[in-house]
Amino acid sequence: MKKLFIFSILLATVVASAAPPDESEIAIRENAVWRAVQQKKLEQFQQLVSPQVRGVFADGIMVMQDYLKAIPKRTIKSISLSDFKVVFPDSETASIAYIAKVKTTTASGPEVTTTYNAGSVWRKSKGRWQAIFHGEAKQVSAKSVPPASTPAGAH
Amino acid sequence: MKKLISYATIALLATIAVSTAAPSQDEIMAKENAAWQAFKDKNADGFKKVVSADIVGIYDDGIHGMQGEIDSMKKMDMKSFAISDFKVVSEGPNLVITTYTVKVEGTVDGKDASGTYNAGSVWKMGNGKWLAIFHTNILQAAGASAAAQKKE
Repeated sequence: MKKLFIFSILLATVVASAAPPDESEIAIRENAVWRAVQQKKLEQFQQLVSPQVRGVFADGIMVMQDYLKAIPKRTIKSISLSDFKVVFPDSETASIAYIAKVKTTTASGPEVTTTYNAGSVWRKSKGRWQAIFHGEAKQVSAKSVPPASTPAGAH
Repeated sequence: MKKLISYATIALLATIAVSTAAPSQDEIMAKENAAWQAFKDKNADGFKKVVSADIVGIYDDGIHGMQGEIDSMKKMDMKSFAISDFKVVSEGPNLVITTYTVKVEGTVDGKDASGTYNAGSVWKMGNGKWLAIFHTNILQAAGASAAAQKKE
């Protein structure tokens, strides 16, 4: 009986690790990155994001070092992510796209809400998903009060 | 005979190593250029040879899959494009990230869309071929050109 129980546990573990990736898991991780940015939790950010990450924004192309400098400078009041679409080119790679509504405050005070078309690529390595690439483009139809004083790239 | 088997084994291993090695910067830049050239030429078949059917594209006017890319291709009349500051980083043997700036001259639906864009792609090796699986290009913010050419 004991053996059967252990075997069942082992089998469940193997099945779980071999299970196809879950779209919601990627969306949850993407959300977690934004929360880490909002809460300025750099360690959490670095756990979720690859050291080799590249981010493409209107203001520039960022590497991890740039993110770590930019995150503490930005005050995000609220984040709302929606319309998630996830594609798995293979079981260890995921592309996610979505709309991000981000409310920030600038150094001069006023709140600005900006809507971005955003997306990331996630890579599973050694059993762990990490974001390796991110891009966000301010929607052309979206209106916001310029200028945002810190880099637009929140994540 | 034993030697022959050894040589064959070495040759096989070398072939495997070459086919799984990360591509050179020139090789992946040629692919990136090919995608842009196909887009400029409105060559959908050529575009599909270097871009995955699962492509995800992030732009200011929307989030595109392959059909969205082809629709954009039809709307854009690109006179020229010039890629610069091209950088490549590998994420394992079958995935590479490119970042660069691209100066584009052209119109979309008759409206000027010329400018310098910050751009990047993720390329994935599958079935012996490198295909772009993710791409973004975003018009540089005014005064952002220096930031875009950051040291890496």
